[in-house]
Amino acid sequence: MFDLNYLTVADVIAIYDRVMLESDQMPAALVREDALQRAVHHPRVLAHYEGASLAAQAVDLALELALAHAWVDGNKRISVRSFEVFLELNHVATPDADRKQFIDDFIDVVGAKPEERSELLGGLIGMVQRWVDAAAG
Amino acid sequence: MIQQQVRKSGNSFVVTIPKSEMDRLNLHEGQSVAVDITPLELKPMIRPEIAEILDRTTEAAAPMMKYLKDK
Repeated sequence: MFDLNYLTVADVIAIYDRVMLESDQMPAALVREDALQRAVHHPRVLAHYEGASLAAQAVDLALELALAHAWVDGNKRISVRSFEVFLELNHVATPDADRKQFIDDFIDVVGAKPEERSELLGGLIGMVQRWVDAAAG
Repeated sequence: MIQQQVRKSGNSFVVTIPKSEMDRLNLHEGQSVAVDITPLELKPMIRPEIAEILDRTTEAAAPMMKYLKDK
């Protein structure tokens, strides 16, 4: 079991509002609060039942938020930003040099068929694990 | 401006004025006042530790947020 700092649903809603305002957009309506709650808590479920690593939980949070489509607009942005904030809360920085690669790979994962996802997810988790290892020194 | 919840009272609804606001405006019972009602949506505040992270990383994340917005 990992002793991690987790985001709450309220955190993600607050981050969403800020992300949208920084994009010069009004925050869109939250249309699936139940799906948002499931997505935010999903990493803890993975950790509890599968012993998921920090990297795996961070990627899971991003994927679950994107698939939840909790808002009318901005779902991929809140997914990636929440992923980054979750890692930062656990003292792992997202390297600038890897950001675009991560996002391109992440978009591929989100758009993939469910049966194709696990292999693509492995690559993403591997990338994030390198960041975790670098932060651990 | 004060924020209060609408409460049901019989077949009507009421909004109370806190005593502090009565005192501040030097109001008294029976006095006529004008009320302008604006619906509010309360939003969660960002925790300080998350605000610090957002402040520190927003600039670096901005190009990718724009990239995602256009996707």
